Amino acid sequence: MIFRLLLALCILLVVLELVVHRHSTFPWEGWLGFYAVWGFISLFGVVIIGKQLRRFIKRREDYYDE
Amino acid sequence: MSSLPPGLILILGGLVLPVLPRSVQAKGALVLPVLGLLQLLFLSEGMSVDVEIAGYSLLPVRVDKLSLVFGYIFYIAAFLAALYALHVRDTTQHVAAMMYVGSAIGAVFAGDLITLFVYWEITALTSVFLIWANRSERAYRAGLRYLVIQIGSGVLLLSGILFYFHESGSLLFTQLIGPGESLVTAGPGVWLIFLAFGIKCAFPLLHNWLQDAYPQATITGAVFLSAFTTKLAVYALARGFPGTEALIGIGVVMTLFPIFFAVIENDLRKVLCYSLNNQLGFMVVGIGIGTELALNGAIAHAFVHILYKALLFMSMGAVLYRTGTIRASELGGLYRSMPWTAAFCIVGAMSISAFPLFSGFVAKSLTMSAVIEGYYVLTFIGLLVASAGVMEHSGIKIPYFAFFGRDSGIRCREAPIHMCLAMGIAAVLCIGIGCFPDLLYALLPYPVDYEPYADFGHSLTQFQLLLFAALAFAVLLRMGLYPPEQNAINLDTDWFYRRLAPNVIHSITNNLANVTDRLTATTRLAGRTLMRSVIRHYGPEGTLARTWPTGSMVLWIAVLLAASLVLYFV
Repeated sequence: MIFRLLLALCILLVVLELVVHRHSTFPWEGWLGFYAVWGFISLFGVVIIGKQLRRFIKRREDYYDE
Repeated sequence: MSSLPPGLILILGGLVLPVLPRSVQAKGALVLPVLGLLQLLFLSEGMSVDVEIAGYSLLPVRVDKLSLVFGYIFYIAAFLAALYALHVRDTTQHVAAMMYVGSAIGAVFAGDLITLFVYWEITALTSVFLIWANRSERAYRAGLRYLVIQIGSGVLLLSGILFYFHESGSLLFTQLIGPGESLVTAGPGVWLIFLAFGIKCAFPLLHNWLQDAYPQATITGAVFLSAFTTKLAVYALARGFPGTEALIGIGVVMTLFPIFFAVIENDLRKVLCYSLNNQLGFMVVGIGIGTELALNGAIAHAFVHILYKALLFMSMGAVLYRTGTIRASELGGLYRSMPWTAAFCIVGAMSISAFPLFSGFVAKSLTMSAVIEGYYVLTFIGLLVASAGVMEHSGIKIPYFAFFGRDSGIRCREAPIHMCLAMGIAAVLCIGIGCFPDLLYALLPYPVDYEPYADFGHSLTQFQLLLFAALAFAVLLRMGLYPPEQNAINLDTDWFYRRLAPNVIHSITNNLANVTDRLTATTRLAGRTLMRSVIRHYGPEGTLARTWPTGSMVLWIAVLLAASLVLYFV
């Protein structure tokens, strides 16, 4: 339910971009849906990379207490 | 009253607090920031106090717009934190907190480097008691590490000041790297001062004292700590190093690396520390760009950050206070028991994520505009990733794992009324500044010619960035790709001084012990051999200890006599 609402909101935001004039300084920044795609990729990437980080740095909670 | 150095009211007031009955101390601590703020309102820009000590002219008080804006927000934060701590019956914490705030305020009004150094060290010495007040072995050790690093920063600052004074002949705290200069051409004094500021500002690789110590502080102590030390460093950088290009790179790295650690951190107060580190990065970038717009952005960011970070620390503190744990793996579903705290936390989360109409947006937009204006393309891309990262750990993870998500089954009471009040005021300020940014802009050091809501496209793209990031989070959860919270810790650079260094020292001392053992064994063997040979020759059975018959002596005497006769004759 919440997921669908979020999805609908996201689609609405991209559709809005078609009607709202927005100012862009860098050309690629003006592409339709640039911020949407970049936001999605960024968070996805951050979580996946962070997850891999666990392999190297995860330790037991009492690691320093020994 | 206006000649009294700002901050002194809190330092002296803090010293008086122990005289009051224990039940009144918390209320006393609440009154002090109000008095301090009143005093600040009487100060006028351009006012200063100079003294001459041993031939050196010092400027213990200098009032300008940069000092004032930090002064205001420090007092507001102190008031909110003191209100939040109204239930605390621990003299140590009240005294330490007030003296800590007072010295931080004194530092932002210090006009010369020596005064800055004195306050710099007092903040370190007083703030550590907010960690030790937890009175656990872990807190004690973390506090010690914190103190060593903070005092170290002060020692570097003092050595830097001495070098700098030698080079320039001035003790005035002003821009240390002028326009057209850079760190490369700067002298050792400026370098040392830069490093001292960098430690306190939690630059990458110098950062880990923050994540190590703050989560060990008391519930209310962490709220105080989150506001002052690092923002004092931001102030110092804004004063001493505006436009120092190196800060742009340092800042971008600072915004990026903590977000990966925040994803997998289980202690939610530690997640907030990584988030704090990331936010400092945005401010450092602004200072590095150094235009009026960028500096305004950095300072506005510091201002609003203090409010929403304190709000987030307060909400997590309330959770810890009521449930006794702050591990994400043990929390969840608390919105049923603590709806108000949950709501305040969400306001903080939306502010830090910079949703339009919340305070983070109106501050961050200034910095982002300055980045675009200066055509810093890579910096811009980096900061966009970092913004999505903020959304991940502070915008979603903190409220989601504490108040929603899997129901932990914990049922508790709502946070105490004074805590709710403190959080409520902070939340109102977050929304108020977000809706009426001119209130904040009027306090900034440079005139602001910027309207965050003038271009609706800007708000729209910000909504897109944040909501699509939220969508990514939801997709990751549904796909089962989101890393589950686990009872574990993650290594950071503190490993080098908590594990590697002790191990190296241990192995060196072990090796030394081995060498000593061997040396002793060899010496003993040599001594024994020597003694044996001595005994062989001189011992009771030795050749030289034998008794000789009288006859042989007479014979030898005869031989000697004969020899002397022969010699005499010849």
